[in-house]
Amino acid sequence: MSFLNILFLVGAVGIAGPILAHLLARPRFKRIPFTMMQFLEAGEMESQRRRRFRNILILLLRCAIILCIVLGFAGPVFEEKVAATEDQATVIVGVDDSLSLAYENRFEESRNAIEQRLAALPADARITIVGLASGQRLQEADVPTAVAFLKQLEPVPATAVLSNLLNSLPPSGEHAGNLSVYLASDFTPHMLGQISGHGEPATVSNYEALFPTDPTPPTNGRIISVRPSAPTAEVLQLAVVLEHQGAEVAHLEIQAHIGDSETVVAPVTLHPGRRGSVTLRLPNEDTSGESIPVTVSVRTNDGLAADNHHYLGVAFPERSETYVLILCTNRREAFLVQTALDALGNSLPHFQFTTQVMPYGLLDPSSLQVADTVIVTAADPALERVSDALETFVKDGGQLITFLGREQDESTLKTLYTRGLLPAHPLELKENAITLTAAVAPTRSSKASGALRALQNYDLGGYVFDAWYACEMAPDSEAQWFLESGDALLYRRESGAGETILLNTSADDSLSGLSKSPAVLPLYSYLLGTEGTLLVASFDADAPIRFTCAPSSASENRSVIITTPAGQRRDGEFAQGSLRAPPLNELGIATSTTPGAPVYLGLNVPPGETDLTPATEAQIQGAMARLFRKASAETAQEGNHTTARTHFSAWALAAALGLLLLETFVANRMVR
Amino acid sequence: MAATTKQNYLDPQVLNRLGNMSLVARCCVQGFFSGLHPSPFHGFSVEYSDHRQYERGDDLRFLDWKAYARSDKLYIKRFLQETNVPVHILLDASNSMTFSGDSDYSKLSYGCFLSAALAFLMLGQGDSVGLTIFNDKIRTKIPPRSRRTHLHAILKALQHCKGTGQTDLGSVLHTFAETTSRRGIVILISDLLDDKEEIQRALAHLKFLQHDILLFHTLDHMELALPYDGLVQFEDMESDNRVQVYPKAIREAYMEKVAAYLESIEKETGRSQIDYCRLDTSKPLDRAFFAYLGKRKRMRK
Repeated sequence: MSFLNILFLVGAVGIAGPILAHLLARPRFKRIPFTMMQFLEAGEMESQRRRRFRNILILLLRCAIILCIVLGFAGPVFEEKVAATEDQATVIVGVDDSLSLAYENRFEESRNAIEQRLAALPADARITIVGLASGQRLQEADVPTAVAFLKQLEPVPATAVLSNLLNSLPPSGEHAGNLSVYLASDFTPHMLGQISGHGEPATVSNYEALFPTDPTPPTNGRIISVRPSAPTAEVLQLAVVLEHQGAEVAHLEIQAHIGDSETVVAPVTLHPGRRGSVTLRLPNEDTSGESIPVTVSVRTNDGLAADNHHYLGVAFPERSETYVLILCTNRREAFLVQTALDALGNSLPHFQFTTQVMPYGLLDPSSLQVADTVIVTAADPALERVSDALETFVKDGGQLITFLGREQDESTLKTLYTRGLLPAHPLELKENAITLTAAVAPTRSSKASGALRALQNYDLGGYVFDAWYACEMAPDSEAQWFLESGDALLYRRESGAGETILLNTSADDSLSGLSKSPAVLPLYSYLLGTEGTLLVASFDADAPIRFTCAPSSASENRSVIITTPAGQRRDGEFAQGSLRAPPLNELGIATSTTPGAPVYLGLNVPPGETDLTPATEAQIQGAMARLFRKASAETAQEGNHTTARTHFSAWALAAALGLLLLETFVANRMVR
Repeated sequence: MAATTKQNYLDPQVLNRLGNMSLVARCCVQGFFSGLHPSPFHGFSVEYSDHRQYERGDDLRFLDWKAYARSDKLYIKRFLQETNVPVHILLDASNSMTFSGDSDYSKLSYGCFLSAALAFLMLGQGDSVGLTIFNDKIRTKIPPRSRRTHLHAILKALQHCKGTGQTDLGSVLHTFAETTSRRGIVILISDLLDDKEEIQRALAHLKFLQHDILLFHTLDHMELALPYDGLVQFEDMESDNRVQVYPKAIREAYMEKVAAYLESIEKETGRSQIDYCRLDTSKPLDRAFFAYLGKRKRMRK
């Protein structure tokens, strides 16, 4: 006899309780004076014996109840040799069809090994096959049926569950024939963990573990993010961040390609649980402005190919060539403006600025016909001469940017304002120092896009100006950046297809002052309306690239959490093949994850299938010994005998209940 | 209705409430006779026998004057000898007689009622009555007298009778036999809780002295039936003996033994021509009266 939980036997000391109670307890009785004692003597002896017998009986019953309960929890198992009633071979095969077996040809190897065992079986063998991950089951079939069933098994994205196999085993002691069990698995840590939690091994005639003979250490790197950086018209540079979830150092290869172009490969070495990054430079030949598909992949050994790829859609803005006409009264201001535009053109490879500096004396209306933007460094009376041409220029889509210096012609300013060429009317020059009150003010402008948000990164509040104008803003204008006086630093008004901008400072002030700040380029980028350089979004493979709402998928409906480049989280939903989500309005790569399992779309892997220190043969054999026990050699020599194991836990508990009832009866009925 | 009311006085519970022993005796006897038909027991002490010729020296009180008037001859009326026999009431007043079971009075109280009533009855019939109260020895002894005033002494002794000590019935009866020369009627009221052989020898001693013995064996019904429940420790009233038993478990055997014991006593007394009357203290006293009067009638024949 053996016990499943031998520690529970310690509870047997509990029988000391009733024994002590028996020794210490004294019966309660009534005292009655009496006369005919001589007739009680004989009867008294009999009664005493009866009472003593009853007390001992109750004591024994209570001790037996405790012992039965202890035995019930300890799980006694009796073994006896049972003559085999039949010689028919019964085979139960557990096939690990989890995704970890999808790596390379491991599942094929497992299937071939099982087929070899099945081919050696007699024709009347009854075979049961159980898919540990899929749960598919073939019950007591012949060999050809079993082989056919085996061939249609494929790895599924699920975790192997050992109980699928164990539940197929006959109860202990019931099977007296020849029972063999095969378990084909790669014995991942998850599988070994399930085995270690298993209790009493099952007795079978034979068992065998089928596992890859030379298991390659699997790795499980995954791509966290891909971010384009420093793009040019010819090269797309990608910064790829990876994470390794495995147990050993992994040497991975990152591959990336644009469409069908040549693949770029970069090696990366990752330590367990650490993140790493690698930079890829992809030659880019297509800068037509349409989005191009970029595929970044990492080669891992975890069998989860779906997790290895990261898909990007990258859209290059159209190449644009902007002609800027700079009207000035002095060369210094014109030089400062021209320098700023050159710097801006260098930082935005897709924008090309052609500048022309023109004194007011040379201004004529024909020069406005080729310009995209006119920058006025001071309001000169010469402008009144071309005011009609300027008005036409703006309404046709041109941009007029006016700086206010100390020497302004107020008559000219009034004329320009009256004709709609200024968004505000400068009334009076103030020459005392004044500061900006805040970095950014709310705006209604549709152009408040990437450049404006880029400016928000700079703290312009507190910047001091030496001179400024008290202005009267036009009703349809908008203001940006306010001074302490309540006047704005910048006024904007849309007029026809174009716009007019008034800067309440001189070009010298703005550029010599602001140019000391890195904000100057975003400011000029904002003034000139140059948006971001690159649009990037993540998406699933074989899904249309849509930038209005990041990745899309052809899968079923699924809620998605979108993490923007700025770290904000948005809720989205995959439905009918596309992702529906609020506009992200951010440059960069948004990442998407799907909560819950399964996680085909996300970058996570199923729990339990992460990596993966290969089990040694000794580990596997030890695990199998926990699951199964072969019939003893002595039993085998006796021929058609096997060991029947009977569990008596339920019997012991039932006996405890019966004894409890008997004890109650004895205690209540025998007293009187 | 009056007879029925008076018969209630035979109920020991009613007598117990009366308290005064004189009243008990009177009520008890009147209650007994009121329930009978015209009594066959009247006047047995002055019965006429025959006549004889007068001789000189005869007591003139017995001269039949009516016969002389009719025949002018002197005749002397002859009577049967007076049957005024001494009656000895022996009352066991040991501790065991104080057992009262579940009633308000004990076996000793019952014996006192019985003794008082018998004394009242006997003195009324001209017998001389004595009373001996004993436990392991004779505690009170009132010699037989036939005066009516003698009743007071007997009732006073019964009124103050308390049960104490152990029983030594054999020794007491032997002592009584040795100290009582004239034969008479011995009425023994006891629970007989003593050595049976010794009791038999003592009774044989009395019988040898030609006493007529009337044995009232008083027992409580609780002693007979042992109707207790649960675990009980019985403590002997005359010793330190204690026994813990479950009465239910031994009741049947106990009753069998008690019945065998009583049967043996009845056989022995019958064999010794001793009138034996077992009295249940929960029953009325009339059974005792019938036993006595029957005994007295047999003696006259």
